[in-house]
Order: sequence, then C-alpha cells, then structure tokens
Amino acid sequence: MNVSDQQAEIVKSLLKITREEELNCNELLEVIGEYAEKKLSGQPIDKTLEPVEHHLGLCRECEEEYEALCKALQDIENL
Amino acid sequence: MVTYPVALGGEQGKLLLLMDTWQDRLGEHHPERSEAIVELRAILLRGLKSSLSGRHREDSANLEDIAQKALLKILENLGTYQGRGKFTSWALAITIRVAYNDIRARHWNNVSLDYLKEQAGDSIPEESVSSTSPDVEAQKKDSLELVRRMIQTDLTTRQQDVLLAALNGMPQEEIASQMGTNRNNVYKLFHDGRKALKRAMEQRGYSRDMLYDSPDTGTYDQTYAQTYVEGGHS
Ligand SMILES: [Zn+2]
Repeated sequence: MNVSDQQAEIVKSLLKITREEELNCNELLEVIGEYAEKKLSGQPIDKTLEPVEHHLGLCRECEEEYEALCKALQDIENL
Repeated sequence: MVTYPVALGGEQGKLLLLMDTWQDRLGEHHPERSEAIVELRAILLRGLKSSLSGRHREDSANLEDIAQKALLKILENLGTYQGRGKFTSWALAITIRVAYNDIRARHWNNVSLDYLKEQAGDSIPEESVSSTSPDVEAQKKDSLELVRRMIQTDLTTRQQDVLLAALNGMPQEEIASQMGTNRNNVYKLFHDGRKALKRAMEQRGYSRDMLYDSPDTGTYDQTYAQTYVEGGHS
C-alpha cells in the first residue's frame, strides 16, 4: 500500500472535519432538495440542514450531484 | 382503497382534485395518475438536460432512459418523501443520482480496486516547495508518517480498501459494486475508518492543533476534487 504525502494530507484534512454522527448519502437525498432551494433563494441554513453542508464537504459524489441539482432547479424555476 | 374526491363528482370534486399533491396524484388509484406521470417525466427530462450540460452531456436516448429509470425509483419510494422541500426538488435529486451513477459506472468500468491499490499514491506528485520553517516541516512529516502507519495498523482491510479507492478518486457506487455492497455501507466504512484514525492519532498524543496543521479546507477541496476529476487511471 502506497499513500503519497499529498494523500496523507487529504486524510488529515478529512479527520479534521470528521464527526461522530454524520448523514450518509441516502439520508442526504431526503433533504438535499430543501437545502438547494434555500441556498438558491438566499435563505439562511438552519440547524436541521447544517449536517447537509457538512456532508457535502466530505463527499465528492453528493457535492457533484448537489451542483447538478442546483443547475436543474434554476432552469426549472426559469420556465 | 383510497377514495378520491372525483367520486364526489361535479365542481366540488374538481376543486378538491386541484388541491392534490404530487404524492396524491402519483398514487396508484388516483384518476390523474397517468397525466401526473407524464408531467413529472417532462420535468425530470428538462432538469436532466440542464444539469448534464457541459462535460457530462448525454444524448437524448440516454436521457430518456435515465428519466424512465428515475421515474420508477421515485414511484417505488413515494412514501419516503418527507415533505422537506418541494416534491419536484426531491424527485430531481433522485433523478440526478440515477444519472450520475450511470455516468460514473461507465467511466470506471474497467478499473479494479486491486489495480487502484497497486497504483495508490503513485499518480500524485509530491509537494516540493515549502515556505515553512524546518521545525514545522519536520513535525508535518512526522504527522504524515503517522497517518500512513495508522492506516496500516488501525483500519480493517475493508476500511483501508475504501479509503485508498476514495483517495484515488473511485466513486462510492463503484467501490460498493466491486466490494459486493452498497453506497451506504461504503460511506459507513469510510466514516468508521476516519473515526478510528482520529481516535488512534489522538491517543498517540497528537493534539488537535498538531494533528490538524493541514492545509485549509480550500486546499483540501481542490486536491481532493482534482484527484476525483482526474481519477487514478487515465
Ligand atoms: Zn454522500
């Protein structure tokens, strides 16, 4: 097994934001619509949605899907 | 069986139907179910077209397939919609996940976990320029060495596999399918692994500050995202 310095740095960065309790990708799917709507309309993100923000900082796939969702919602909004 | 307001007939029935939610209208016995499905499919397709423009552009036959697959998934999971945000936002989130699962599976089609384990770390150049003092550099080097050691000693084989594959940009669905599990379990292995490493490092006397002298989140996002975009296999 071979972990480069840069990858070890990434692991450290991940540890920095690791929490005991985190949303998983499926749980995120249930609330990401609400989160995206609030973000797009400039509304504040309340406590119940904060774990969404945290998960997006850890999970590239959900982050990528969230960006795509925002594009879709903006487009549909502009219909 | 649910009784729908159309059974009331006349203006009262029509008015009540107008108040029905997407969830109601997509329900198995609703008189407008077919119309609702057609409407929703059109919204999903439109959302897919705008979200998959750019580097993930798909041809329209593919988009139709993805929308159909997503629609089935949405209908199957109708009862899980919790009313958090609009129904169409929830449905689009599911659709986009279906789409990306498809795209990622095609992209990572020929890459095995074993191959990634052999390649791990090789594809990324080491940082060579540093503006920090020799002491800070030495401490940083120590902490990186410790991270490497802890990965070997404090993680299970499955946790190591998930971590290494993720560090080399392999998406969770692909890791899951190669490990014979699902994305949720992969996330759990990733999460449990991180918690184990965090505990192990703190137990070895690394305080939060010493351990977490790493680049700020911006740098982390950049390098992590770059690894993901480039993958480990191009
Ligand atoms: Zn995720």
